[in-house]
Amino acid sequence: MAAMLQGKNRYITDRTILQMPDKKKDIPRKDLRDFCVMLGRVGVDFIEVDRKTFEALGALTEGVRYIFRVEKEEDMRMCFEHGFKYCVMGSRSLMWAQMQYKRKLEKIKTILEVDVYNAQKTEHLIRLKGFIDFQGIYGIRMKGLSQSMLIDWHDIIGMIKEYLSVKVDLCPEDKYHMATATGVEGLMNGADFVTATFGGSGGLYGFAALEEVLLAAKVIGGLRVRGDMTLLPELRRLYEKMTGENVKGIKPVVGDDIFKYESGIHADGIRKNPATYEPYGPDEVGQRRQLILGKHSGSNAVIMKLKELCIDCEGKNVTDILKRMRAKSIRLKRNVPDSEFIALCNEL
Amino acid sequence: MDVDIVDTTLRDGEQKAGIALGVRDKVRIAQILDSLGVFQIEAGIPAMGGDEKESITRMAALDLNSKISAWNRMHVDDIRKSMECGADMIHISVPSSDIQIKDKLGKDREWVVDRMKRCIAFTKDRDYEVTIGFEDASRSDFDFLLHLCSIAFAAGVRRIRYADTVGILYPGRILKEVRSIRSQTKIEIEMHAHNDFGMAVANSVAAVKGGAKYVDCTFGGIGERAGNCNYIQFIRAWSGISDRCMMLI
Repeated sequence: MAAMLQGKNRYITDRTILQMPDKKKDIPRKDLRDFCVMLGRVGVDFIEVDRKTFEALGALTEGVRYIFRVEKEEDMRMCFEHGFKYCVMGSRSLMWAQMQYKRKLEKIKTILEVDVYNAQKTEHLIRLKGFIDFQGIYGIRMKGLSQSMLIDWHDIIGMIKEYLSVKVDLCPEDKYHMATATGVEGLMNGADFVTATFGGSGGLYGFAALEEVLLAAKVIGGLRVRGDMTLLPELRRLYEKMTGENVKGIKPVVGDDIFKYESGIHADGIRKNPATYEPYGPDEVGQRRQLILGKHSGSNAVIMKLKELCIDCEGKNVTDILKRMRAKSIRLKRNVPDSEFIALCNEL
Repeated sequence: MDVDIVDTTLRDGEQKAGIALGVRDKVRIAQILDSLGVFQIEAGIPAMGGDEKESITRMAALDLNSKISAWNRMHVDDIRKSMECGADMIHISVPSSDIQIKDKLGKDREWVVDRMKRCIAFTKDRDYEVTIGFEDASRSDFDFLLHLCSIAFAAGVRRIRYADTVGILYPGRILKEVRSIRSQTKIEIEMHAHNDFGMAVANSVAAVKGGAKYVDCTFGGIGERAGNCNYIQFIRAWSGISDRCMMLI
C-alpha cells in the first residue's frame, strides 16, 4: 500500500499513462515502462491502463499492480486473456459484463466507476444497488466531485461502505482547482483509494496531482507513506520527455523553483531554521535549496552568497554591494545570477 | 456571501525568487487591478526603501477605487515609512507560531503581544486603518491565536489575516478554525493561503465558507515557493461552487 493511517491501508492509483497518447504519439516503449516502474517506486500501488496503453507497454512491469479499464466488449476479453486481477468500468459495462461473464468476473476485483456531481449526492449511489449485483464488486470509484466541499467526508464514505460493502476510491477532477484537497481529505477520512495523475495532468479539467496527494498525505495527514519521493525530479524529467510538456517551476512539490528563495525575511528565516519558511525540506523530494539574489534580498542574503561563493567578506562593503545588486536586479527585471554577482563584487 | 479580494501580487507575489518589478510596472499593474474591481491592493514593503517606496507612493497618489495597503514588520520605523507613502491601510505582520517567534525572532509570546499592541497603538493614534497579519497562523497554538485576535480586536483592529505561511492547511481544518475565530472574537478574517501542496484555492474557498470575508490572491498564483492562491482560479472556483457549497455545509 502507498500509505497507512491508524493501521488501515490506503492505496494510490495513477492514471497518467492513459492520458499520454493524447499528448504525444509514438512514445518509446522503454520510456513508458520506465515511467511505470518509477511510479511504483515513488509510492503508487496501481497503474490504470486501457487497451491502447497496455498494447503500448507490451507487458506489465514489476513492482506495481495494474487495473485494466474496460470500455468495450473486446476489452473485457483482453482483460481475461492477460490475467488482470483488477478492472474498472462504468455501470453500463458492468451490468452487461455481469450477464455475460459472471463466472470469470468472480476471479477479478472489479471497480465500478460512477460520475458523482458532488459527494453529498451519495443517495444516488445507494440506488445503484437496485440494479447492480454488488456482491462481486470490489470497489466503487467516485469520479468528478468537483462541486464538492468535502466537509463531511467521513460520514459520506462511511455510508457508502456500510450500504454497499465496497472499497471507496476517489477520482476527483480539477474543474475548480480543488482535486488534490478532495483526494487528501478523502484519504484522511476513510477512502481506501485515491486515483490521481502526475502533475494533475489529463482529462478535460485535470485530476488530483499524484505528487501533491502523496506528500500531503505524509506531511499534513500524518499517513505513513512507503514510496521514495526523492525520485520525483527523475519522474518529472521522464514525464517532460515523454509528453513534450514542461512542468512549471512553481508547480507544488515538483517545480524547479519551489526551493529558490530571495526575500530578506525568508533568507534570514531559512538561515536560522529552514523550517520557519518550509513545510518540508528539499531532501524529502530530491531537490536542493537555492539562494537567489535580487530586488528583495537583504544584507544577510548578500553575506550568505559571498560565503557560498567563497568570496572573502573581509573589507567588502556589504551595504554598497547590496545597493548595486538591487539596482541591477530592478534595471534588468530579474534576479542577479552568481556570475554577474561575482563580476559586480570584483568591480568594487 | 460576498468576498473581497486582496491582491498581493505586488507584495507576496513579487517575492517569488527572480521577479523584480520596476516603479512603472507596479503602478501599471495596480491600475489594471483597480479596473478589475479588486477591493485592496497590497502594494509592497515601504521599509525596503528606494524604488519600492516610490512605487507605493505613486500608487497611493493615483486615488484608485482599490484601497492601497502597505506591508510592515512589527517595527515603528517601518510603519512610519508606510505612512510617508500615503497608503490607505497599514498592514502589520505578527509572527504567531512558536517556531517563528523563537527561531526567527528569538523572542517569546509575551514580547509578540507587547510589540503588537505598541504597533497598533502607534498606527491607530495617527488615524490609519490597521490590519494585522498573523504569520504562520496555521502552525500556531490555536488558543494563542485566539488570544492575539482578542487583543487586536480590543485595540480597535477590525480585520486579521490568517496566513497559512507554509501551506499546510486542508479545507476541513481551516473551515473549523475560521468559524471558531469568528464565533469567539467577531473579528473579520482575511485568508492568505500558500500553495505548497496544491490546496490554496480549496483552502481559500473553505475559509470563506467558514466566514472569512477577504481572500488574498496573486495573478498567476505567483509567490514564494509554490506560490499563493491564484486569482483567476479562486474566482472560477468561487463562482462555480458557491451556491451549491452554501447548501452543502
